[in-house]
Amino acid sequence: MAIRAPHIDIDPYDDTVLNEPYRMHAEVRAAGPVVFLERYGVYAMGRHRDVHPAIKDWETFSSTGGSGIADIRKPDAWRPASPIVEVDPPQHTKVRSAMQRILSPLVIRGWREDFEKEADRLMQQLVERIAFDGVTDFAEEYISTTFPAALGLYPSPEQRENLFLLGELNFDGQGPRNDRFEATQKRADLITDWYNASMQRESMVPGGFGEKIYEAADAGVIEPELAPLLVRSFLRGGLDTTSSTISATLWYLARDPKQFSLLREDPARARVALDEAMRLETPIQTVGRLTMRDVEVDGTLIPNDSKVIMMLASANRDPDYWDRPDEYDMDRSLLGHVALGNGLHMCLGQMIARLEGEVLLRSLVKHVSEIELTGAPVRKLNNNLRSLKSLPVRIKPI
Amino acid sequence: MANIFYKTHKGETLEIDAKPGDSVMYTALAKRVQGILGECGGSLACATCHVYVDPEWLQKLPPMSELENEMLDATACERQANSRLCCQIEISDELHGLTVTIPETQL
Repeated sequence: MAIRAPHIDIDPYDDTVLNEPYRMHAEVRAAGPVVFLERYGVYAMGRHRDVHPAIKDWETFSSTGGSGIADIRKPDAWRPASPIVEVDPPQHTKVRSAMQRILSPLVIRGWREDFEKEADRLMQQLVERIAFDGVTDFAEEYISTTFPAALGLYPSPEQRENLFLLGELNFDGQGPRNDRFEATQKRADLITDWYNASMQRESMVPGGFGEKIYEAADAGVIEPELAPLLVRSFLRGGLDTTSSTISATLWYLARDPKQFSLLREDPARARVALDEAMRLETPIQTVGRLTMRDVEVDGTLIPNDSKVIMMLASANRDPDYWDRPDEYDMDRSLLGHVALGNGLHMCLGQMIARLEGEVLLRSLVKHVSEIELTGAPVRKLNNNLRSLKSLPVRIKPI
Repeated sequence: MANIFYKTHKGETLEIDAKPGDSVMYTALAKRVQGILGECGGSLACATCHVYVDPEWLQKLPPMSELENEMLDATACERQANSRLCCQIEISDELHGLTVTIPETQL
């Protein structure tokens, strides 16, 4: 006989919790396989052993109710679903395959040289400066140059600021309609025209992958009305997440010179260095799912048609799964980390993110022998995106 | 149990006890076999678990999907007639003795 989920009164979107969510995660994991968040009327799961298989089981835990806390099919929260993130098979299969062809590893590998040039250009500037901000001058600077170029957006002076604002809105929107979301929405309202124009075909530089999405629509592979929505997914999801991973990696490397030495010894560790930072930071903290039937999770019942918040960040530091969960160790086995999801909804842009991060870290170790923190890092609070606002560092050039 | 043999491009052979139901990619990662990255976790997004299957085993493997076939055109080392993505090979008792060779690079 299944038991009911314990009700707990915590607010995952409170400033204090967003700053340091680890105690909340421990509380959720300790309370049971599933808890009910009274304040929001949704279920939540935080144990690795439950989250890892659940996010893969799309037939039970569907994405069609929206990626956030709200059920987007209900009248009070209705909005159109994302044609890739918020659909399941069979519709998902068609769109995902089309996108996978456009973002083939072969295509992405072709960007390496351009990304390397950009990384070296940036690092040459930063070694002149010695002291800089690891978020705005390093991670965000790099991503806001490489990613829009790969997507194929015409550069404009307001582009960087606007794209990061869209990311902020996207991830604030996955939480409740709180003051934080309302404030971001207000700022984003001012760039609506720019936003709408940026996903149209006229905004795509020939040769970028944005243009290829439109060509897939021409060829009848995807519905024509999906093309701008798919471009939109990349405008909203492609920058902050990668930038957060990169700045977190720099932070962990600055805190632990031994780990930085490991990377310097063998720069081929760059990709695992990023992956381990992704695990600890988990840029996208949670994903929302919707139950398609009454389901028992380790003996606890979640009724049909319930929204469930999958706490990826909690699973990624669950001491029942990870040895020394809070420690940054690029030599550990990272099998099973869920920062990019699991199963058919796993992050589509991950190979772009990995290439960007790898190339930048390789350039970093080519130019820098020591990294030192010169102040406390400051968090940028968002309803669902965990990232830093600033990370003051000083480097020793080689 | 089923034993899987992983040959490195340097000619070394590792014999691994594998659990039926796991994939050849998952087993390699769990046992920390070098040279198989499986970065996308088996979602057919990365082509970093490319292996060359010993020809005698090819017919015994699960058939190749269209997407795997396309992803194999995007591998870092050249695709050959016996290329597979090993995230798509589920281990069973019938695959006891399966031998795969790991290419020089996956990136």
